[in-house]
Amino acid sequence: MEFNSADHTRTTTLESLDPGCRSRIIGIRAFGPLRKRMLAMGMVPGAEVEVIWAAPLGDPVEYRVKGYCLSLRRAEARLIEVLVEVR
Amino acid sequence: MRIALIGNPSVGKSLIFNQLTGLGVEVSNYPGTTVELQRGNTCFQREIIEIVDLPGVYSLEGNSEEEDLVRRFLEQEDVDAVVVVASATRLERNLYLLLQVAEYGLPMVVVLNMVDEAAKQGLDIDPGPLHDLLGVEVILTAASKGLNIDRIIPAALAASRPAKVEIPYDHHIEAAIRSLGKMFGVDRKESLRALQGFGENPELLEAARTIADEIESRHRMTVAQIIAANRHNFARRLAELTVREQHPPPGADPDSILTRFIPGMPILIAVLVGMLLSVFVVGSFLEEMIVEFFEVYAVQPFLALGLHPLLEELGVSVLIALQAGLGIALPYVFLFYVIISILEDSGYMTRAAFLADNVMHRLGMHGGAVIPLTLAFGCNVPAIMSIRLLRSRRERIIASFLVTMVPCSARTVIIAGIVAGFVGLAAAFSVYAIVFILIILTGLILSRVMPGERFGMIMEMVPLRRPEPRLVMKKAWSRLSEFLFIAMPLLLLGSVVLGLLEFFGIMTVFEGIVEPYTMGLLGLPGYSATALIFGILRKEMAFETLAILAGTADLGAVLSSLQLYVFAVVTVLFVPCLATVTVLLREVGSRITLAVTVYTVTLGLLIGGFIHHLFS
Repeated sequence: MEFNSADHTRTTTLESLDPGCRSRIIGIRAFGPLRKRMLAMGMVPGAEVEVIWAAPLGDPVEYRVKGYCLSLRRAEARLIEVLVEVR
Repeated sequence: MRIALIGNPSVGKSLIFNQLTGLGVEVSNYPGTTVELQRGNTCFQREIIEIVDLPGVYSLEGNSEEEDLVRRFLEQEDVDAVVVVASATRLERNLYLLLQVAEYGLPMVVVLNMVDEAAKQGLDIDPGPLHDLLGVEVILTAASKGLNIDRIIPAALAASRPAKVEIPYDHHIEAAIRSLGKMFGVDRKESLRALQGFGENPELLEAARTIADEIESRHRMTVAQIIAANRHNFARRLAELTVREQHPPPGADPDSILTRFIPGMPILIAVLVGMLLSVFVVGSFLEEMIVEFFEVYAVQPFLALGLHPLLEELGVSVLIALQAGLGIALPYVFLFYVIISILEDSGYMTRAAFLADNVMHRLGMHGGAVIPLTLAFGCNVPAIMSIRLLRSRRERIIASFLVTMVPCSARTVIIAGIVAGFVGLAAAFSVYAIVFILIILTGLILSRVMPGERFGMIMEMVPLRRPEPRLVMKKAWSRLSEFLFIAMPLLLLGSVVLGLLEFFGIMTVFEGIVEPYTMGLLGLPGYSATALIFGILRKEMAFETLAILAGTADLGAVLSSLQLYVFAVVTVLFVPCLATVTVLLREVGSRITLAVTVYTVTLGLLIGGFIHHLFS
């Protein structure tokens, strides 16, 4: 996790965010078919993602991206780097 | 004239397909895959038009069977026009696929479906920008209301010009496209595909690879990622031009309660239990009726004819196969598919998968596997047919092992009839316990050793909607006919072979040969082996055959409790029934079917032998 005091943002991974959090994707660290699938489903750098809710046992987690809902396991969300605003 | 429908999953594509085509839809598997392709015909101005419904995909660059199929279909250009169906409610993501298809430069029509739902969400759709940019006709439809569906075919027939779209790519990519074009004389489309590693020309691919590596080292991003990002940006700009939000979209999804612990979990459990109960009650009631009907109106009258013994044996074998096949097909396969189609079309399936994923993941599968595994308690046959719901072959293989081990209603008959009836209730539950432990162990082991690609749990939570009764019935009917025409002949053949073996006394010889082994390994008399083998035809038959061979229905009088217990355990684990084997062959191929069969037989004999030696 990195803080950037200049523009009040920090970079982290999607999996560490709480429900209700909004963030912007800056990078995908997945490889191969997993990466292609993420890209195809709209998880691309620049896209805005909102955390909706985690499944009862904590995994997977539901996200909203590009106006629709998507579920990802935490292990997969960990591969998505995001930028969040810090107040 | 041939038209193909392409689109993301759950954009109403099948509904449109069904409205365009009449009856006589043919479902076929694309050669060498488990992916289904629906073909149907329609008549327009005295011309027969073939419509192909391609599987729903999110992009054309992935490695799944579905994406492969759609890509190959477009590359072969074996189609006169493509109709891209996109949902107006999630246009931006849908445009991503649309742009990829447009880059193939085939004659194209764009259908923006669900405009009614979009209007409800306060979205205003303007087809103008898309039309201007791609130079193709854009039709706004609402398939659930039949709005503008009649405009699709005329538009597709009139679509003679290929779609033209040039997505502005990153300048390094553009430069690479130009230099590949100069070096090999290929067009933009082909250069672009070569940069992503697709194509046939090895020299072109080699050169494209060198350039792609260079771009990657400079950008610290793969070419595929740059292209995807450029396309997404373009899709976003296009979506912004097309869609105007009239009033802000609603906050949380009203259906999100389905995915919370309370009431989500209780609802999931209620749905699964309800599904099973309806199948147990309605399915077994219908099955019994069909079996009884066959017995009284076919088998008995046939035996009364007093034909030559060989003919009689053959005839009875055929009748038994028909009885087993129809007894399973009509009640179970049909009923299951009505239920599955409702779960799928309503969008509940994705909620169930979301809730169950944590547990299923440990067994090496996607959360969606909860449906086949639950269905398997009723009957393995439709459960195996439904493993198609799983995305990757790896998961389908794991599921095929686990599903065939789940005690279906026929095996419940054996456990209830033999163990609970002659040994005791606690012993009956212990059989279940043994089977469940074995299923969990198998899942844990397979999830670790099974090779193959993992796609993870990236799943779209499709919006909830009311399933269309006609579509549900159509799907259930297509599964039923699939079972009848594909599994039935194999079932007939198997039954006749077993009948002939019995007739020529080969079974008796066989009993003599295996007797020392069954006695030594399982402590069971030779004739129990025959009963086990007949159990392959229909699991309950193991019970019936054992009673016939033992010469009494009071099995407790001729066999010890331990023998009965061992017999039940072996039967329950032993080879899946013939109907299951035939659908396994179709869903996962002969090698995996053989592996599943060998595994279950070995497991049955090992566990049976272990119990025998432990307690005797």
